[in-house]
Amino acid sequence: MEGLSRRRTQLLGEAWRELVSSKLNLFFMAFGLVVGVAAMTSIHSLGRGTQVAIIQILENLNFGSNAFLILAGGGKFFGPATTRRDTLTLEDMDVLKRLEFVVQISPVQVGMLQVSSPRNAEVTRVIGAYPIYQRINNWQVKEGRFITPWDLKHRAKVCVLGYETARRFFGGEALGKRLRVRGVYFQVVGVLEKKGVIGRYKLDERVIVPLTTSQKRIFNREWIDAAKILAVKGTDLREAKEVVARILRRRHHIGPGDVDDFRIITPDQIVAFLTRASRTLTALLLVISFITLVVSGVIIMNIMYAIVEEKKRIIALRMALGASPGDIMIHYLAITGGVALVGGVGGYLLGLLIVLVISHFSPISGVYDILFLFPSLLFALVTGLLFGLAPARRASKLPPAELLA
Amino acid sequence: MVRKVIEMRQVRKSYRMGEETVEVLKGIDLDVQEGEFLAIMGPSGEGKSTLMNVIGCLDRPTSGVYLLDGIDVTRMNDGELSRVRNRKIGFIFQSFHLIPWATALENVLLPLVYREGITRNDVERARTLLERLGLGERLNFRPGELSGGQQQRVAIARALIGEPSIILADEPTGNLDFRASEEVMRIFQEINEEGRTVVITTHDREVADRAKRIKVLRDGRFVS
Ligand SMILES: Nc1ncnc2c1ncn2[C@@H]1O[C@H](COP(=O)(O)OP(=O)(O)O)[C@@H](O)[C@H]1O
Ligand SMILES: [Mg+2]
Repeated sequence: MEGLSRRRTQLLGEAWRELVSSKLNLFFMAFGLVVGVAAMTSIHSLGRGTQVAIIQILENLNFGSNAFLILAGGGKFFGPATTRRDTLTLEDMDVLKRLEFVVQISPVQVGMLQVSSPRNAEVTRVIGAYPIYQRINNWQVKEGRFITPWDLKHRAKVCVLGYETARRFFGGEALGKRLRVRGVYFQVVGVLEKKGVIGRYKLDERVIVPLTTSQKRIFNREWIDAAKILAVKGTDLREAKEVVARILRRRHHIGPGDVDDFRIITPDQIVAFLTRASRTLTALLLVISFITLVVSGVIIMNIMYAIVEEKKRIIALRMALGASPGDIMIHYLAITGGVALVGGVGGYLLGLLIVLVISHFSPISGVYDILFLFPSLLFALVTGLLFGLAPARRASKLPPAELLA
Repeated sequence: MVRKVIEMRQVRKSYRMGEETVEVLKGIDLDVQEGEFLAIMGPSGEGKSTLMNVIGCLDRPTSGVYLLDGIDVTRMNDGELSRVRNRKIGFIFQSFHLIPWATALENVLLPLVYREGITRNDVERARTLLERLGLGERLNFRPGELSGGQQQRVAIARALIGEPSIILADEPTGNLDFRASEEVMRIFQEINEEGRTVVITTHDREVADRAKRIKVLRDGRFVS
């Protein structure tokens, strides 16, 4: 038994020495695998990183497992509304607030409007909100204060700015300054902390005003665009969504079989939606990596055929000394296995480097795990062994007598 | 009673060349006893290598009986034949056939890789063998760093390491100059005197004369 494993180890040793005796062959065979594995692992890593970042930001916005959104107007997810959307009201919210699982509701009016200061003018997201908006979205105020109940009650012409908006319109010194929205001047009373971006949605570009003010002074309408509902921890969101939907249908007189004039969106749907675009890209790039690996497999096969041809007298010698066809098979499979090992580890390391560089120079950051090493090696091994099979078979079937003469 | 290592009766070997069949061995009868030193002589192209390949189980005869150490090897499959070669045959070739990237010591040990794997004891034995053959200073030289005569001595050590039943050397001096030939033949005589069975082929009368017995191959048969 001990002799058997010793024999096996030494057979592999023979193969390894033959492999490293020609570093150029090793390089050419491993190169394709390195590129393919690096592409696959880094793409996977960046995809995962993007997803993790989105989930993190959503959780940071208190949009974790116990919150959901109601959007005015029916239709597809984040697409444009395909029904009337002027039906969602604060009265609806008062009814929903009485539900047992509802902790808080934050209704909003939202619009992209021309906003200007002496320094800048551009279209910006303007949000009419309740004071609860701050806590329900876990916003911290960097300077000044948030909207207060007093502001709401008196329809105060005050606003709180996102970090980026404050910088762009006032160069950072925003408190006390005046901002014009739709011809109305608002005094800046607070600036929010920095939050980042979710996909293309820039969290730090926003102007928040009291909802009562936005109803009368900006949008000139009572109905709201959306509301965020925070549920009791541990609530089954699917059930909660159903209850809310039933109430809204009844209040909006939507019969059975009619299309809803609202949408209810949970955080997991947002994550899925935001990662869908990157998923298509990921799939495409994975296909490219896969092709790279197949191409490198074919390259390996051809170089292996050339090696078997070049080394056929040495193969015949091994046979004369007692190597069985099976031993020769193992020898050449071990050579492609060695190539795969080098290619897999090399690809993993190159992938790691790519992810580090991209994470350093761009806002995307990859999740690169030591565990990637195993699928990397596995994929390289499968490729190497699969494409090494035919050359190894040819080697094992060489006629020793003819070649040694 | 002396043991028979080789017993051949009416061994024939023919090759197909497209439509035609060329018969190279036309009925070989050969007995080799343990401890013999036989030289097979004959001009080039006469079938010496073909016969050696059959004796060494690298090739099967087309017909005839061949018992190696009393065992019929004509009906064995490739795997079984490789086992027989590994245990019973020690090959030496005209063009040495050493592995270029392996050291002298590694080359000598190679047959044992295909047996049960090399042990520490085997390494010692290989070292001793090479020292005996005058290569004690060159254990870690690669074939490219050795002269022809030295390379052939490494090959002889490789043939001896596995303690085979028979040493087969096909034109072992064919690529060597006079002095190296003399040296190699002296080694063959020496190992034969230790009791090993040796069969060589050559087209050179002087080389053949170093053996104890000579058989001449002519037109596919032994004529003496
Ligand atoms: N594999 C083969 N296929 C066809 N003919 C062969 C083969 N091997 C040897 N021969 C022929 O057999 C004859 C004897 O060859 P060989 O045994 O090498 O002679 P020697 O070793 O005595 O010089 C030659 O004519 C050679 O061409
Ligand atoms: Mg010959």
